Amino acid sequence: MSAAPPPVSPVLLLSPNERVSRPAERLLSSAGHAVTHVTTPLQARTWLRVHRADLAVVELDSAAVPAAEETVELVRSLREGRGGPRVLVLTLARGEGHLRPLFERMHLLNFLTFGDDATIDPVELLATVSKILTGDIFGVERYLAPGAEVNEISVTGSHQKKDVVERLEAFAKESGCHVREAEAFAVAADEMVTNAVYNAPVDRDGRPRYAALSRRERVTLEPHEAVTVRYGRDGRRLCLATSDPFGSLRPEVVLDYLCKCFGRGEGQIDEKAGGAGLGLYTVLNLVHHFVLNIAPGERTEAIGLLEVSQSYRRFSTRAKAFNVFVREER
Amino acid sequence: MQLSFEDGGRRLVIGGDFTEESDFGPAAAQARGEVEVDLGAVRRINSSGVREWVGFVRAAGKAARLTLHRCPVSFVSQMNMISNFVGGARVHSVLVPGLCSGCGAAREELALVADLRAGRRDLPPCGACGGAVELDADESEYFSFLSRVD
Repeated sequence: MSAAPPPVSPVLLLSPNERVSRPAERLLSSAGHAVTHVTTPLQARTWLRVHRADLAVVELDSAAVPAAEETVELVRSLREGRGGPRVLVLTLARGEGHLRPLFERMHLLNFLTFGDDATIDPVELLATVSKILTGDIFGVERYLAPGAEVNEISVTGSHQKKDVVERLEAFAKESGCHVREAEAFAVAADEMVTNAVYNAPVDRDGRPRYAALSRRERVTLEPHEAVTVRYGRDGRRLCLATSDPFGSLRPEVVLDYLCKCFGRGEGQIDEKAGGAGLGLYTVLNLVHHFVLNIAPGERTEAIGLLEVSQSYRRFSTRAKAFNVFVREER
Repeated sequence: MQLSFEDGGRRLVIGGDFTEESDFGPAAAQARGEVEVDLGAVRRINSSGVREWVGFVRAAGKAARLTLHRCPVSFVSQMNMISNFVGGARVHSVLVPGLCSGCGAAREELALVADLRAGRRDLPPCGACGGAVELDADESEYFSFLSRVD
C-alpha cells in the first residue's frame, strides 16, 4: 500500500519580481502546494478576502514605493491577525540596516533570503515551508544534503564548553572554511551551548535556575537534562545544533533581545547578573541561517547554518535568514 | 587570554580569546597615563568576553588613555556591532582581510586608521607571490566603525 500523499496546502505568493516568484512558485508547486501568485499587496488582500491560505510567502524587497510600505503593512497585519495564514518573508536581509527593521518594525519570526541574482535555496525554502505547515520542526538533517555527516556530543556541564568549542572550530577548519569563518562557527557554538546550559534550565514553576549566575560559575546538569550538540557538513554547508530538554525559550523574549541589541542603545549590553544579553544577536551575526525550534515545556533546539566559504567577504556579506518555529500544544 | 605589560606599563599586549574567563581586573588597575594596547594576537570574542572587555575599557579609561593597535578582524567585527565597544579609547590601526588575486592566499594586512580615513585603502602586494591583494570584505561594512571611534 502506498503512503498517502501530503495534504495540499493553499499558499499565497506575493512578489512583483518574476526572478524571485518564478523559482519560488516552481519549488512550492513541486512540493505539492497549491500556489497562487499575486504581484501587489492590494491583490493579496483582495484574494485573501475570498480565499483561504495556510501560508503567505511575501517577498519584501522588489516593490517600489508606495507598494513597498503597503507590503510591510500587509506582513504586519498578517502577523498580528488571528486565524489567517502564517507568514514567511523572502528578503535580501543583509547588514544591520536591512535586518533591524525586520525585527523592530515587523516583529518577524520567519524570513529567508534570496541572493542578488534572485536565487532561492530550495532546501531551505522547502524545509521552512514544511515546518510551518506541518509543525514537524525538529532536526538538522532536513537542512543538509542526503548522506551528510552529522556528529553528536552530550554536554552535562559548563566545564565541557571549551572542549566543544575547540572541537567544532577544528571541524570547520577541516571542512575548508576561511579561518575567520571557522572562528565564527566556534563562537556560535560557544553562545549556543552557554544558552542551553545556563538559560534553558528552569524549575517546575518555570523559573530560571542558572540564568542569573556568572558565566564563570560552573553548572552541572543531571543526566536527563543533558544538552545535545550536533554538528555536521554536507560539502556545501556546516550545521550546528544544540538541543535542551526544557523548551523554556519564548519567541517574544527572542524578539526583545534582538531589538535591544540592534537598537544599540545604552542597554545593549546587560549589566545584570548572568549573561551579557548578546548571545542570540551574536549567533545571528555569525551564521547565515539561525533557526530556533521550540516545543514549550519540552525542548528547544537552536540551529546555526553556515555556507562553507574560502573568502571572508563571501562569509561576512551573505544575507541572513532567521526562523523561529513553535510547536503548538496538542 | 594572555595579558602582559611591557615598557614600564606603557604597552599592554593582549592575546587569546575574550570570554567569561578573561580577567581584565589587574590590567585595569595597573593602567596609568598613555597606554598602547597591542591586540594583534586576540582571536575569538564571545558575548561574555564583550562585556568583560567593555568593563575593562571603562575602568581603565578613568586613569589611562588607551590607544589600540593591530585590532584583529574579530575585534573589528565587534566594533561594528557593539555601540560602545572601545569606549573612549583611540583606535590607531586594524588588521584588514585580503585575498591575493595571484595565488588566492588569504592575508591580513595592517592598516592605519589615519590612512583609512584619508581614503588610502590599497593593500600591499602578496608576500608570497607578489600578486595584488584585494580587500576581502565589504568596504562600507568593514570600515563602518570609522564613524564611531576616535
